[in-house]
Amino acid sequence: MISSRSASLLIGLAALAGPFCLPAAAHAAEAGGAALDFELSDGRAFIRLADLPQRVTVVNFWRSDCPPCVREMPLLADTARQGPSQVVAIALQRPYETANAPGGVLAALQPPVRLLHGPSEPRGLLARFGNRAGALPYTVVLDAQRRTCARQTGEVTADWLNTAIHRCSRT
Amino acid sequence: MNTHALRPLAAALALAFALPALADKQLGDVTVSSGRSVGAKPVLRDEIVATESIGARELEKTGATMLTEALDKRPGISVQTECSICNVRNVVLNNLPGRYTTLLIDGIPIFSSVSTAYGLDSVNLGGIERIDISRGAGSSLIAPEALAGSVNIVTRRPLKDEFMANQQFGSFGQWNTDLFGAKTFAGGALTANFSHNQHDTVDGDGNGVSEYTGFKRNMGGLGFFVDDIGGFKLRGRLDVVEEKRMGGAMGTDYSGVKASMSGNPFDWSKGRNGSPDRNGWIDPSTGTVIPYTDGRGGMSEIIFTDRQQFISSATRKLGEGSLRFAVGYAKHKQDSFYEGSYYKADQTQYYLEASTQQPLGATLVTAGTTYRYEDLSSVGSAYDNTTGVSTVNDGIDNYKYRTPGVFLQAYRALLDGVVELNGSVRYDQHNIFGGITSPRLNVLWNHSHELNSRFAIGRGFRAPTSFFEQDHGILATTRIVRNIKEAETSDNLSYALSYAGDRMAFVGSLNYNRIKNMALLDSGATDPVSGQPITLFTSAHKPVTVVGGDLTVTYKLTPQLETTAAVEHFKYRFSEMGTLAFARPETRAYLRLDYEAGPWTGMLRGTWTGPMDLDKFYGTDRYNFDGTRKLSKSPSYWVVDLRGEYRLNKQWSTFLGIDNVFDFKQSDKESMLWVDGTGSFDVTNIWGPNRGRFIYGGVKFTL
Repeated sequence: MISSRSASLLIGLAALAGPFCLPAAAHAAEAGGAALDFELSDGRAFIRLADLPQRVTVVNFWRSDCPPCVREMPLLADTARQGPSQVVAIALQRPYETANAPGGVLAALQPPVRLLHGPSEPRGLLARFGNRAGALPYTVVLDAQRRTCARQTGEVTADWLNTAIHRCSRT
Repeated sequence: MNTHALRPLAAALALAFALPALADKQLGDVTVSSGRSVGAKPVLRDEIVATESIGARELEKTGATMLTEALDKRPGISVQTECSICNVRNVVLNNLPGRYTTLLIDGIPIFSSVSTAYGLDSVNLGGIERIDISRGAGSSLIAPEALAGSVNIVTRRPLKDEFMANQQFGSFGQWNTDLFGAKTFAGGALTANFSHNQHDTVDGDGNGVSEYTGFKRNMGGLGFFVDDIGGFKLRGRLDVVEEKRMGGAMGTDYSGVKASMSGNPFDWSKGRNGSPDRNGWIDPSTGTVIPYTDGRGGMSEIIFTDRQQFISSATRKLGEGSLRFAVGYAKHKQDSFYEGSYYKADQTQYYLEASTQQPLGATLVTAGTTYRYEDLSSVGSAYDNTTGVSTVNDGIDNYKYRTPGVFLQAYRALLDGVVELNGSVRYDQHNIFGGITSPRLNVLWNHSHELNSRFAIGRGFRAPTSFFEQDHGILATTRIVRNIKEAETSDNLSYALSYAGDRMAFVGSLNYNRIKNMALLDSGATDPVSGQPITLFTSAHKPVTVVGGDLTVTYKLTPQLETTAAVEHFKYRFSEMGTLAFARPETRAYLRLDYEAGPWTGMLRGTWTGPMDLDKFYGTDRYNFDGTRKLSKSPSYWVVDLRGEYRLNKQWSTFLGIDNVFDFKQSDKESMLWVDGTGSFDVTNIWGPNRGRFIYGGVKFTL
């Protein structure tokens, strides 16, 4: 007969021991692989990544209350203007919050940058694009076949972006 | 290939560098969003503990002006009104009694007995980022008494200077003013907020006795955020609350009502199954009329509340992990008048915490210690309406609890993050109930990027209090005999399956809760030796079990329109009256539409509540004022709310809303007042809305 207190202690020990007892397995980080896709709103229609022009695509995940996200937005806008790659900015917030973003951000989000809004629950979308931890800003560069060839957690630099786009153009 | 992806352990560490209770924080140049929900729905946050999150924007969209309104009408979460003339409102998780829900602010538990009775309406919503709700015993590592779950209010660190003013006017004299300001400086920010909220008493059936309690409430708060002080990231908040509420008699003539203890100002013939005589009600045992002669005061409850509360936490990097200190303090005073009796309570609470989170190999370990102190000191007098004499009864429910505790938690991701485990155990040394161990195990299994499962098994404990609010009758007894030896304990098992796609998301959860030693107050006992009336404070002999499940599906119909459908179903197993003291439905269903396009935002919400087995919860000894039996089963009903907002420009918005559009209220079907077989009245026959259609509108200004 196990007393209630003993049972509690056993459960507690089992709970603590669990994480140490199971073997850790190492898997290679997911990259490249199958063509990625999404179906997100631009405020007027649902846009599928697969329906966009087949060229190198910079996909940036951001929020307006994330300072590094806001800082890198002009660089992404310049990249979009210079071409030939296209830039998709996915706001992980409600359209209302985007509309209230600082003026500089709204100016950068004008075409040719394509502004989309993420789903209400964005973790599936983020994980699909290789960001299971949900850290922002997060940028993925896709080749023309929509396969990941570079990704960056944190603010991007012009050097990193140019190098990534150049590399993705060759794949 | 240039890849840089945060692994689960790294993400957990990142979260550790921010305050543990604050998942969405700046970490150098990275904001860890934890897959934060950005939508209108309470969907699971991407944490190992299933957590439903309600953002500040969602609070606005529902028109909520207080915490209890913000949390109501959600699957597995609701607000229970426990008294028709004082409107004690509790947050109910998994349909367990509201006292088993623990409220935290930035992860610091600073509410208990007195403050959860009337305090939840007075929680300041100014400057908050979101409200996280975790269902299940032990869902909070630092609040083992949360037998049903926890509600954590997370404050927001402003990144720029802000000013917000919100002015709302509504039916029934409702008036709500919210002001919030923030000033940022290099390395920190200061915030200030003020809120005034008032509402008239509402009498739906015309008998002169309110079903909705009137109130006037003022709340002020100051917050501070310092990003680096000796390596610590510091934040804190001071809140002050002052509230007056009165129900029963209409209006706000508090002193006049207290002085009115004779005559009959009410019309007992009004309302459904009203008495044949306006001056009293039928005694079911004799069929004769019992005249009411106790004036306005004899049917009224008046509660004045004063509360000061301070919380602060400091976090810094320590080695490869983090170090955290937290403090909390609350002083809560309640000055009450209950149908002639007086009760004044003074409660003090302290909370201290020191903890560290460190990686040990591939495992993230959190260890810490807490010290909790709370006391209650009361003075009171019981009014005898047959003699008109008051008897002093000071300190009848006094208590003093000291609870030092330690906790240990281990987190590890396996199979490249496909499976995540989180095991924890607490040990608390309670000064009355002794040592208590509370274990918990959580497992997150990512089936795919979009689909995952969460399993949780855990135990919590709560040191029960004999707090007056659970039974006003204790004041009329000479003492409380404490025949209670063990704390209340809850065993909880839960499973949740969630899917997060681009247009569709769903969450389904199953919950099993079994509460042992549920505390009971019986103020109808008699001392076998002296013959004096006493209160017995005992534990239920048999466990109370509540088992249920819920399913929520959200689908984006068009880029502008999103719909949510949800259903919950619960079963209640209990045999002792007074354990589950308030009726809960077996089934509820929810349907919601959210519209957002350009400057327009709209919300339409329908909540269907199924029948409640009133005899099971309230017993059969309940009668209307005309002597007929009360309903055995409540009718099912819909409550429909809608709200629209138009943004005039970046600074100005205007909004209009209607709650309970079709004006369904319980008093149209059955009074919340009732009498027992001997003709004694009570105010707790509650199963439906206590207020009908409520129309409100206002403007919002933001800088």
